[in-house]
Amino acid sequence: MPTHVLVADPVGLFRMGVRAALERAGGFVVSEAGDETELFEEIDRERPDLVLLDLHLPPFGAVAAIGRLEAGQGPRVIAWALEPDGDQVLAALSAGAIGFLTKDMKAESVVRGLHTALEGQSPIRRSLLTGVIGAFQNLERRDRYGERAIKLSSRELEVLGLIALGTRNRDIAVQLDISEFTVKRHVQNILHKLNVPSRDVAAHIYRSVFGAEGTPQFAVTV
Amino acid sequence: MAVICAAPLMAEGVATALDGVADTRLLPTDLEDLSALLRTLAPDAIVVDRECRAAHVHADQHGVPLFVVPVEAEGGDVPSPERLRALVVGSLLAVQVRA
Repeated sequence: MPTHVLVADPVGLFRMGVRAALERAGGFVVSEAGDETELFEEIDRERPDLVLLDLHLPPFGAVAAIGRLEAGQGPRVIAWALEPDGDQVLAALSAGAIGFLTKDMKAESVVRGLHTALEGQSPIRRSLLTGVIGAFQNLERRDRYGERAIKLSSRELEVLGLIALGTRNRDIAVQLDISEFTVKRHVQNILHKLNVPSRDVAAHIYRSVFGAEGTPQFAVTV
Repeated sequence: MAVICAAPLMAEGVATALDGVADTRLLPTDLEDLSALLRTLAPDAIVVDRECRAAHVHADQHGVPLFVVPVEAEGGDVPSPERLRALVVGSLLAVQVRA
């Protein structure tokens, strides 16, 4: 019984190459989709065993498509892209992809990845692992720091945001129209609530949670 | 025709699309002396899937048509297999007419 693989990718030439490689390898029946609409039409019609899903599949990308698939108890999905970063791989895996490959792999490696998936394992290209681990650790760190940052008052967050931008106490006082003594008190409270030894570490936490631009990404309780 | 691709599956797709139209030689982008190899092969046309300086230089110096077919569309237009086939046939005919 051949394995039915659906190749979902907007680039017809690439789909053609994957089809040629899988059919030459033997044991695969291949169907194709160029966008999300075709993806779901093919899934309904062909009931594929596996989907090779391009990370940038139009219109909304693989992560959105995988979310819809999972809700419908669809086929197992292996996402892939040419040069994905760790965050992209982690997002696809979190959404429900069982594996992640890269599009510059040789045909034999892709076939091996498909067999790995058929054995119930997760095919992930080794070169992606470092990025995925880094993305996972960043995510954990952001969550942890975010929990601490949420304890800060809106004024303390304002002060910390300015510290993160490298602003000195005197200038913070001027910008916020408060005394320098009050700024120092805010800084002490910030260090205590974040449980960190210095303003540099506090600034690092702020940037980790809110990004380099220092724009809060979530509502903060006062 | 030389097909110079970082993604072997893209090279395979291009070769399949041009089957019956051109003899294709599939070359990886990271070949050590691609320029010398291109001079030896003297292709009538070149297809690349990403920026490839050796291919561009060869195409410029020898008046060889160069086609770029990125693996990922990224909002741009990647020719379909049929369109690539038509483009290659058209350019090869044009070269013959000029000769």
